[in-house]
Amino acid sequence: MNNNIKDIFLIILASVLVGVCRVFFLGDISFIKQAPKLISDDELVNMQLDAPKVVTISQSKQMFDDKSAVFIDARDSLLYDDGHILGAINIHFESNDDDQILSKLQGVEEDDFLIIYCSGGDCDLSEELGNHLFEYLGYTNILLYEGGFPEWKENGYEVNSRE
Amino acid sequence: MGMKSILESNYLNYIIRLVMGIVFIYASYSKILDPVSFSSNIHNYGVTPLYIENLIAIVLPWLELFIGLGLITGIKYHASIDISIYLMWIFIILISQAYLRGKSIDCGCFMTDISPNDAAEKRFEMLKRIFEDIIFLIMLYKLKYDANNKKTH
Repeated sequence: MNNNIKDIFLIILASVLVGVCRVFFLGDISFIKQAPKLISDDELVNMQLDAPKVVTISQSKQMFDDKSAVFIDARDSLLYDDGHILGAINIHFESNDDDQILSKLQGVEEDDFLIIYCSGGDCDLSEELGNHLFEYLGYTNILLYEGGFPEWKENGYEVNSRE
Repeated sequence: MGMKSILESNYLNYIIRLVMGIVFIYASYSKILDPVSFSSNIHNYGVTPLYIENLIAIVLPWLELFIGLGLITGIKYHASIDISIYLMWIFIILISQAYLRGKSIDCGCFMTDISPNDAAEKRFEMLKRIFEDIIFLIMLYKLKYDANNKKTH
């Protein structure tokens, strides 16, 4: 029995070693994830982001009023139809391929600020879409508004709504 | 050969070992080749802080490869069975908690954020995964039982 526990640790240890060796020797850290950071005021002015960044509701609202950002709704089209931030483009990552995404973004420059949101809370749709736009489609200024549609609506800000 | 003798025979255990070994090796293979999408899959379960997600992304593929090989070759056989059983329980618990919270492990989204048709399909897929894992678990417990009774190996 004790031997068995030793073997279990041995196998786990071997897995850790091989895994860590892979990271260090191949230098392959593309799958190591970091949480997106809040954008700084400097970055908002210089428009040079090294990764998708998080924006607060007040920053989002400011950019909405200045018309200095394009809003993108990453939720399902049914929810989008029910209500969304005024003027937002609907791109549900799963149901659109790259060509469809690009055609929806026609007229948007690659270095325009894109503010992507979904349902707030645990919703990852905006982050997934943002990472994809940043890494594969060449959009350089991706902002994630994590409060999402519920927070925007609660604050009484501008929406398109069925009601 | 009657049902009883099939259940007691070593052939069945060899088949189970081969099947479970292939399941684990196959699972590890795609994760080792494509760690990026595996890493975002872990994220979809929505239970672990980022540094644990990273740790799982680094270690789990190799763990699966080693226990898969262990099950097939018989090297560190008992330990491989035990780790397989722990992993299966963890998978079942993880998928179930996501299911109960209404979170899809396919996209990491909440069922309420996608259309009802998509949600129904994703729910069904998750139930299927849980069912599969329970079958695997039963097979692994048979191996463990027989190994403890020194029938095989």
